[in-house]
Amino acid sequence: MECQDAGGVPEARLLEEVEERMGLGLDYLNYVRNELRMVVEKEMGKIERAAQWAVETLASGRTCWHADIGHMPELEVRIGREARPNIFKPLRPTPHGREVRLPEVRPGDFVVLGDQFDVTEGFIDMALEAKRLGAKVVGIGASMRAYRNEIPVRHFSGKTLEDVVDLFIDTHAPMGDGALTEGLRIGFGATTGVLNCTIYWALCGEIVEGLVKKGLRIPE
Amino acid sequence: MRGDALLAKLYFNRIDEDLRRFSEEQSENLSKAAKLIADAVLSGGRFWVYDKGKAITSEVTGRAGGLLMVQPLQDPSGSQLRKGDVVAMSAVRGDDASDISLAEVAKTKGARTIAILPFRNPPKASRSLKDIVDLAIDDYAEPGDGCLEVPGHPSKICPTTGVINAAIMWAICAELVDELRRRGKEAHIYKSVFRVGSSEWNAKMREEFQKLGY
Repeated sequence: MECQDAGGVPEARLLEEVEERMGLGLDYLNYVRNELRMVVEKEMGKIERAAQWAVETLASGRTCWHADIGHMPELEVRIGREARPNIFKPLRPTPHGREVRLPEVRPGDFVVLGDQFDVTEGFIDMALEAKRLGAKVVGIGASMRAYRNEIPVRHFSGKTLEDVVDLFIDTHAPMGDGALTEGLRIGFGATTGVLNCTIYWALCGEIVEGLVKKGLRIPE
Repeated sequence: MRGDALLAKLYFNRIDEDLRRFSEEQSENLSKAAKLIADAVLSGGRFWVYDKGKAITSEVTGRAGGLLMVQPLQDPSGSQLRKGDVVAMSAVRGDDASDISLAEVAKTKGARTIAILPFRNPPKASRSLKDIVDLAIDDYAEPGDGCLEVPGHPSKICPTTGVINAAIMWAICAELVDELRRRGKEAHIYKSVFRVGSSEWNAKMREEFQKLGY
């Protein structure tokens, strides 16, 4: 399955009778399953490394922070969520003129920033600020490096989130969040929310395991 | 039983296993849901999505690569619903009183109901959402929602309902795109705001959606 926009599909083809076959619903689920396998194959080492940093942070009495661009992840991982290990605190940026400040972040803290792709200016600002404050920063997002003509860099520095963080975990989500393209004028089916959340919970699980191995308790 | 695998990998395996199982056991529910929604929107009804925590609603409404016709049901009392509508609910447990109430209100008003939820309720539950809605879909979540065992920790950690229910909701929407195509209709899809030309595309889609309702 290609992760590209279908482009202009003739109207006649669009309205053709769809053959009896596996429907787009199962196509979508298969697409997600392929992405999951790709993340396990290519990004699991990074998830493990990020978890080690988080364990070191908590072991030294420092704080782990998390923010996500929105849609599902921000609400899915909220405090009070059933079965949520209390690893991350929500990162609360404050505006400072045209810049952003992170008043709660301290040197030695650990920050995870979830982006849809890799170009959200506010998240690049937060990553730069967190690093300036002496925190270790991990980005979760989909690298759109191969599609810069379609999804251009927006930050004034010309940098992407991947460029400015200590570690970037790629969700391998499709260009523009359109997983399915066959017979469509534009790609359909976002996967960034599902993948960002999966990586977040997997990371939490790995951190908990690291804490237990060190004989430490999950923060209350 | 755990081997030497990382907990992170176990979480990925669990999500993949649930999606595989769903594809094998419940694919016909995607078709049923899509037909139900297509019947509604082509007859002037509206397609609503609701979940108490708003995570799934936020995930599939006003979303890049998503459908313009999916609307967030903001009021859990069901006041926005009317006859001919369809509401797809996502629940983290089957016995939540407010979810059950919403499904009952929807039925009273003549709206159709779909729910994605764990069929395995806590033992004390006397009623379940799955017995009330028109179409119930099992997300295979365990009571308490956690799926990873941690030595020395009293309950399982890391929930599955958010990820699985979101994936199933997207799959329903994908199947709906297919179902509408079978009926000679084209669903309108948002273009990501990060993409070149998104403003023009989305304005055109909104205009067409306002006229057609799907």
